[in-house]
Amino acid sequence: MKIIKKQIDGQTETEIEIRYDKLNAEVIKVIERIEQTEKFLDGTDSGRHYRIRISDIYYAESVDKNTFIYTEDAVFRSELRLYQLIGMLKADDFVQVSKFCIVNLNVLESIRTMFNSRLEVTLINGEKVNVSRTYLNHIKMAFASKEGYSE
Amino acid sequence: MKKFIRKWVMLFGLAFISATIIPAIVNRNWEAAIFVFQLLFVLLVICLFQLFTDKMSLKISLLKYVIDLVMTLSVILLFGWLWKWYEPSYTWMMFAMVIPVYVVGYFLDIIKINKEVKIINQQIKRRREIMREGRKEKFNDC
Repeated sequence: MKIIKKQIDGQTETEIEIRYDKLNAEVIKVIERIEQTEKFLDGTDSGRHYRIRISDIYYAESVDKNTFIYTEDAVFRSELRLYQLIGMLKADDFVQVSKFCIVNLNVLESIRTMFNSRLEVTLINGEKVNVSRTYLNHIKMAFASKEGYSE
Repeated sequence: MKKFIRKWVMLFGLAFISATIIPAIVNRNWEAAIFVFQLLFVLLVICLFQLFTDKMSLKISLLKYVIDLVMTLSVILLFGWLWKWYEPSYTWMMFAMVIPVYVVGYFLDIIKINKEVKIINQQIKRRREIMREGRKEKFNDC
């Protein structure tokens, strides 16, 4: 794949043109990645509204019927319920890891079993998130489907 | 290997049911067949309960195994007492039969989870390498 970049003086909006012969898996993946960087979610923090880039979200969790969105170093409250977020973010590299939490696959550092048989994922910012064993297969399959094969 | 063992055990189960039911029909003696159906029913109850505990998100995962064991023993003791599977003085035998099976199942489960964790860690590593290479390519292009 060839990447051509052009710096044009006076260009107000960044444009991306993808030229391809066939709309294959690689092209679709590129389009999805580009679209992902341009997708946003609304969140609030201390009464102020923010637009959060989806690719910046590390994970989202539901606590006492409230949904929280976590980025590298900030937490936002979302008006959406977790199941709504799951539906919206499924195509964007997010996977459900427990009944109350979804995680961005791109920020996973590792996963480990704890002494009490619980599972835990470590994110690239060092944060740790609990994983339910019921959802272990979801994570495995999410990686497999994103890589374009299944076991 | 896993598929082979599963198929083998499943065939054994079906053959066992068939070998009990067919002679029962032919000889019109349902004593043994009734026990097989009772056992099937008890296993169904246990499996349904485990399906429920699997869906529960318990803070302490080990608690799930304890609940499963207590529930399995309770179901077997209750239905066993109801259908007179054991004499009250031999109740300990039910424990002796259930606990070893459960402990083996627990360790098989742990092995399976550890195997899945290992696969996921490999997938994470592979993805991080791909992302790093992508970033490097982008940097070189600049």
